[in-house]
Amino acid sequence: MKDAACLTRLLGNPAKEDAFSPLREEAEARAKALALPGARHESWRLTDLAYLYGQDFEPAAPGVAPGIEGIRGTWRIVFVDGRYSKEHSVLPESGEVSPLGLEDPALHDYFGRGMKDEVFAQLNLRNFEDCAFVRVKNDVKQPIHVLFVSTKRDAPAAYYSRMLVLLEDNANATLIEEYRGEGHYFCNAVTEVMLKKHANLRHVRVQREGNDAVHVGNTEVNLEQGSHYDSTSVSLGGRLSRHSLHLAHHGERVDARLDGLTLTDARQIADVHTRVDHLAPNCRTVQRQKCIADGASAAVFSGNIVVHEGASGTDTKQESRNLLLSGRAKIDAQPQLEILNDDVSCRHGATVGQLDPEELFYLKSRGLDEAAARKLLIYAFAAEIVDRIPVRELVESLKQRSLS
Amino acid sequence: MKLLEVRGLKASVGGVSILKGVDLEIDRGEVHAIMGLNGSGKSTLSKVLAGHPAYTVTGGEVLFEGKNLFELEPEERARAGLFLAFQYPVEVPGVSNSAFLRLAYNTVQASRGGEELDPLEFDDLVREKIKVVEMDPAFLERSVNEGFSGGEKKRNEILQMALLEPKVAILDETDSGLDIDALRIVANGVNSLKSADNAIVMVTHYQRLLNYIVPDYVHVMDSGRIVKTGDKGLALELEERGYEWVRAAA
Repeated sequence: MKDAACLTRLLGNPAKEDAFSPLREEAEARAKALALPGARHESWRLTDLAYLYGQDFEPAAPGVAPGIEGIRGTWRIVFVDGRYSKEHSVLPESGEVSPLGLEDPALHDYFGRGMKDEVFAQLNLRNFEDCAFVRVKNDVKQPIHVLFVSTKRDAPAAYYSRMLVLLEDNANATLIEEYRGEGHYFCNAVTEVMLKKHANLRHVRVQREGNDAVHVGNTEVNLEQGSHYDSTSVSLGGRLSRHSLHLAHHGERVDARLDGLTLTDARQIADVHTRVDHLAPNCRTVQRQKCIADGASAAVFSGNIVVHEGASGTDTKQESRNLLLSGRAKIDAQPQLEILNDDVSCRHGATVGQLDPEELFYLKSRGLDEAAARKLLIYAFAAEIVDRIPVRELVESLKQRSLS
Repeated sequence: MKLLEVRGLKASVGGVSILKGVDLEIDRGEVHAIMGLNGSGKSTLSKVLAGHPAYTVTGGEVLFEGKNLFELEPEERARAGLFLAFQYPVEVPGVSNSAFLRLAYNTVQASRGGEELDPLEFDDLVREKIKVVEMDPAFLERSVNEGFSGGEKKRNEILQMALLEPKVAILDETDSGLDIDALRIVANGVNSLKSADNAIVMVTHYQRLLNYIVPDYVHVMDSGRIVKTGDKGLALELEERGYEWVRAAA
């Protein structure tokens, strides 16, 4: 049993002794009870985890990050191999953004409450070193860039990134969550987001791990009355990646927008699972997911929107558009709706296509060669998602990357 | 040497023979009109000349300035100076019109040894050229043809013609879907681009475009061949008498 051996190994080191020790202990017991997903696990059916189970990951010892390029005009919180790096971080003196919140009692009100059925999230809770705590009480004008970097090392290493984002009533912020690294490693990421009444978060998640990496991320977002959550999630990197995003609309008139883009090539496997629970009336969710798969890669999208009893006046729209660039690539797209209520407006659709030969011919008839025409059309497909990212410098760097 | 010589051209699509031996000669400074009923093969002729991949050339030859046109890829034909204004210009969501126009312009310029322009320089040029078709500059910032009306799409085609400065411009049903004002604007644009060094080929069903862009030659296509050639008087005669008599005579 490769998955069992992998779990044993990931639990092999003693748990850290700190304020979270009781939670760590609980998490270990849960992780053991849940076990790592095997072939028959429904939610992992389309994602081959052999690449994860085939490697012996050691817990990552503190590494030294090379020079880190940030994004101009942002506050920056940097974690290297799961540990906070003061040296690389840039923070306001006013203390409106603080990197670690162990001493802040507010953290403990929200920390580690959910994802009890997610084995990887429980492993994270058992093993994480530092947790970023972004608590916004009013408005933060500059985007907050939280960067998780893995350093290159000789043996495969596992590290745990963790973040809690709390926006108080009426607070406003832009958050960029980014993953980078080099070499063979396993990044297990957990992000918890809590938006209090009428808070407004623009959340950009960029997963551009190294080519040989495994990335498994769990994001849980809890939304109170009148809050507005606008997210763009881009998955580019990693040999094997999975991102599970769970939203819960707890209060009335929550407005959520989820944009996603997955780009895969060569032998990459990238899986995006989302679930949105409408638990209160008059909330809205607009979701748009795009996958572009080339080479012999595989992209998976499973998006589930659940409208619970009592969630009247729900308005949702879900769109999954996919571009297959090679005969050996594969895309599985499954938009799903569960409606346990009437008086709702829910629309969804999925398309899988190739580059349109008429569009290609049109561009060629204006002098562009095959490669330039293809590039322009692929770029155009991705641009609809990427162009909405509110940080110009990041948009440009993502365009460079997706066009190379 | 003629600019474009079409000799015995045969072509098919999906195994169905459409062009059955087209002969046509076009020279610098000339304006030609190719008329005919739907299904006569006139649109196929323009697509074959531009290199549409759905069509297979099964016979004959086409010389463009003395060189075999079919040895060139579609983009090489465009760079060499062949231009097709599409009957149905393609929408390309996500690509801004100005970025697309500049990319096309610079690619063609580079192939001709001309100067490539940066976005600011190109903006000056395109704002000058856009006057030719009286197009609102706001259309430069929108995605290529996306949500454009029929008339706006056709203006955008002629704007591309103005930028790429072709030697032979084939206008495929450029008059279709245009109201009378848009027709006049598009025709004025084409007339202002006409010169002693280039040729215009209008492919059209109706005579009305020819009131604005006056042809030197009018060709009638029927069942994949050019069955009659005359001057502009022929177009008027077709308008009056229909196509049947040409058929009967041919």
